[in-house]
Amino acid sequence: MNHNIHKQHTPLLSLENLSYSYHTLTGETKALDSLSFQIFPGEFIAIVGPSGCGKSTLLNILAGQITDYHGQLHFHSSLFSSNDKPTKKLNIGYMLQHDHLFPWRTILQNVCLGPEINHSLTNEKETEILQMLKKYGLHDFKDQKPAQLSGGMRQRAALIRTLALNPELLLLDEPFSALDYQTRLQVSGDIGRIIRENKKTAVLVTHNLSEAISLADKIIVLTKRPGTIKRVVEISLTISDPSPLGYRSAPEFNNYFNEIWEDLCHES
Amino acid sequence: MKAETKQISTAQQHYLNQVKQQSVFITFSRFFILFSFLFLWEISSSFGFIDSFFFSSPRAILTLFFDMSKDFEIFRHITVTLMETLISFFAVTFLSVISAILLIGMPKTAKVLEPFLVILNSLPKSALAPLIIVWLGTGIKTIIIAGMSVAIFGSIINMYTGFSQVEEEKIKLIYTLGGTKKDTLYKVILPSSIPIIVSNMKVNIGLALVGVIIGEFLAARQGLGYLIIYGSQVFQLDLLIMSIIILCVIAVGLYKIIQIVEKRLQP
Repeated sequence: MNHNIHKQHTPLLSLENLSYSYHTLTGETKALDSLSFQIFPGEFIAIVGPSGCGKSTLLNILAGQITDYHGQLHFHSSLFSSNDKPTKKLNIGYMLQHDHLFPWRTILQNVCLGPEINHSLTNEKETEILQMLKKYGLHDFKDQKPAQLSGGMRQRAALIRTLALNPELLLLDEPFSALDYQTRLQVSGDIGRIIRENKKTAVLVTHNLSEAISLADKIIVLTKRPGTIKRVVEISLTISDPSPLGYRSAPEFNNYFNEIWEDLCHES
Repeated sequence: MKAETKQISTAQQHYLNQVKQQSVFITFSRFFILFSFLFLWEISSSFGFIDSFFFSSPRAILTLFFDMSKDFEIFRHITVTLMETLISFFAVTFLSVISAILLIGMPKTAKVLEPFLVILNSLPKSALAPLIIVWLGTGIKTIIIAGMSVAIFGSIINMYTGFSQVEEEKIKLIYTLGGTKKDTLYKVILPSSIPIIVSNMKVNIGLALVGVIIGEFLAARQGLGYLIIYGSQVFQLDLLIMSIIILCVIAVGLYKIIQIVEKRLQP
């Protein structure tokens, strides 16, 4: 099965010559240098690169956590100024390395956090969230505290919390890295499926090449610091079984892996 | 409905018995030490091994307590000390939470004020009590301020440090969900700092009691601190020791109440 999606002509997000430097007392460190690429609606993009190449910095810029960058960011073709409060205007969902479910809240209260903050937690919204919990096997745990759930269930709850705001763009900052290998494989498969079922556009930052190849339509390989685009790899896998192992067993998988691995080896 | 009986293995039963035995042993040992001490004290005093004028005796202290209970005089003193301590304690807790919130919201101001807070916290607070009396005169207000002065600066520093240690990522999460600074305070900082607030309350209750007693030593006509100083001045050691014992009971009682609150607040 080929999991490439049909690209529409208008990109959801465009980056033009995006650069960013960190400033400390000991000097200036250039983290990103002249990055330009586009993300189309429904696309799943993975960003890989050596440690410290600015992957998470890039996500922080897209999420609006960093605003003093150089270059241009267009969302739906309109210029996005660095003074704009991004998460409100762009409707972006951000999933972090750890689930950060609040231990004093139940699972339902945790997944309702976004609408609660945005004052949009209506009865209809709650019903919609409950349906998502049901669909992804968490409904029976809705009144339990996060400590009573497994790592994988907690990450699924964190994704539902992000999806509850119906974001146009999902940013995933190594969301599986805190999980053990077996859970990681299962949860990455689950989360990839949920994102595709909900037809979301997603950007995944990861160190794990297998994860990137099995989940993404396109992989952007960054150079070492200052991060700039080394190569963009379009992924097209022929699969018979849409499971994490199914993607990894695709005949093209190893070629993609070796190709990107070589790129990364040259950069380290 | 048929009641379900759960089978417990012999090994599990043995483990449960061991835990129970240990708990009984600890409780028994505590009471044994307490009653042995009281018994030895009473015997030593009765048989003249120690001077009962200076060391009093459990029986003399109990007699005095019942005498002073007849006209509720002792309860008047206890109530005054307790009320002053509670007012100081709640005022310290409230003011330190508010100050820590303001400092966390204004990091530059926090940096400016940091050395001043450290200096004020390092001061021996009992040295401030005479100054407070000169400024405010004698009376309950002065004693409450004295009680607060002992705990307030340390409490502000601890609460501010605790609030600052809330995980950055959790705050980032609130912003990514479209939240504001106010949301980070109400949804993350305050709820996740409850253990820090409660642990500060445990320290503050003891310090407020110390401050109130210092204040009562110097500027009161009622309260347990006044009874202690009065007892020492007129060599009525029964009164002095009884007041100290009542203070111990109050301190333990207040601490236990906060422990119960802490257990209820645990997620």
